[in-house]
Amino acid sequence: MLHAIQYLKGYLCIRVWGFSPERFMNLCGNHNILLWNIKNHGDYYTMCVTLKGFYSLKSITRKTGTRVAITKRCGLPFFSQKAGKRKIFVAGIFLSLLFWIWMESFILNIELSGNYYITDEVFTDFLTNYKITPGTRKKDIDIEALEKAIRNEYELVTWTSAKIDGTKLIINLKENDLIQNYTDEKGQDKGGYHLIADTDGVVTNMVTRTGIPKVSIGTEVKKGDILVEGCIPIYSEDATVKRYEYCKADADVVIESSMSITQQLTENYKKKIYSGETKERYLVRISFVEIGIPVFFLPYEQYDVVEEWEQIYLFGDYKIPVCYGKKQIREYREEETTYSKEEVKETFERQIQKKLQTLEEKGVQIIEKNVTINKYKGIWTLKVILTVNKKADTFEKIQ
Amino acid sequence: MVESLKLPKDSLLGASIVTVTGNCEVFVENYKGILEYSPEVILLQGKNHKIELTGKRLNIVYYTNEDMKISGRINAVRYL
Repeated sequence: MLHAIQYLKGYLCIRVWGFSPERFMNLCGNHNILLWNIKNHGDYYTMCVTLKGFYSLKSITRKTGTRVAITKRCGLPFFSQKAGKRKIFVAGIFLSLLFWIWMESFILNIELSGNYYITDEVFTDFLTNYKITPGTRKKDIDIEALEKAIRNEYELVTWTSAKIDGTKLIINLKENDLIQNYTDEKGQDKGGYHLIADTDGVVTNMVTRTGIPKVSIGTEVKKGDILVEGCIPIYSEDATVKRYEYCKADADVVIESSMSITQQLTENYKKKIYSGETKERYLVRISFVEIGIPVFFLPYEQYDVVEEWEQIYLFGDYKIPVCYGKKQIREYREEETTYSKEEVKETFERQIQKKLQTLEEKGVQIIEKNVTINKYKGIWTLKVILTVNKKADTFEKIQ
Repeated sequence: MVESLKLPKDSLLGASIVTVTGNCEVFVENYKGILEYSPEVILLQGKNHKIELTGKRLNIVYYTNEDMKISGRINAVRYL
């Protein structure tokens, strides 16, 4: 801190010699002139003195019979003298300062938080339509109007707050957590929904929460059959239907059904045999211009290319049109090969496992699996017949 | 009287305060001036006595009317 103040005020490094330098220092002390970095070099002393103090040294030097010479000028007051010799450097500092101030007047990054149903991409599109993108001038953004526009555009946004923090536009949202109920209510207003069977099968389990059940455990159903009705009849005193109350049928109806999966594989195929010869090229892409290092002609007849790209981001998520990456070119030759029975089995098993995993992720419970593999005219065929338990989740609107 | 009134001795008696940190730094207050300064010896004038600091490569870090700081390798502090 002291150094910074000394630099701002300016100071001089001086050389003192003569009859009594010690008395010179004492008198400086008495006149409240700060001296520092005092060193004895035998015949002379060197020290630093403030610029203001230096101007009052004349009488002291006369009294003490010493002589003073300036060896170095330091600090901001002398900067302009030095700067005069380095015009481009000074111009660079000023230009970068101006550029910095100018850049401060733009929004460079948009941060969004609190959104769940509205995805970042959807919201970015909305902001783009609203003419707010990274690079928009701050003064062109009306925060209150933006908040209002967000609430008008998205009904499920219950609260919004936008603020500009430096060059960052921060938007906080609060979405309505009861959105599902909201649409349900909306559906109810329009007339309600039946729960229908989305496949042929037998009902194995059933729990009804809302609606009139039309089937029971053990009932055989066909695709499209109504399982739970979404219109509840309200009877009058004479046991006639007075009116219908509409709702969205809500029930867990598990249907046992069978489904089949068929996969085919030709016996002969062209196998890629890699020679192990590879070439690598480092890439930089600026906008649409791609530069690759090193430059070479491809000596391979058949090859495949693996590219890896990394996007460069500024300030966390501000995308700039610069990417860098690596390209790997691998040589191979094709060879006509025939699948062995084990290979076919392995390939089919891999494929079927993938399918079954997808089904299980969808909530389908597999009870039984019947697999057959046949070969006919050079084509391997896999047929899987599955018995599954699946929860009905298809709704039909009541007309 | 100074004792009974619990007044600071340095301001009333004009006693010098010498604070030595290790053997590399000395901080001196309440002195009148420098009598001699060389890289080996610094002789200071107090109110009633002289203070002699001997050592090697002695430098005055700063010097004002009230206090001073000396750095270097201190060998001895003597009152003359």
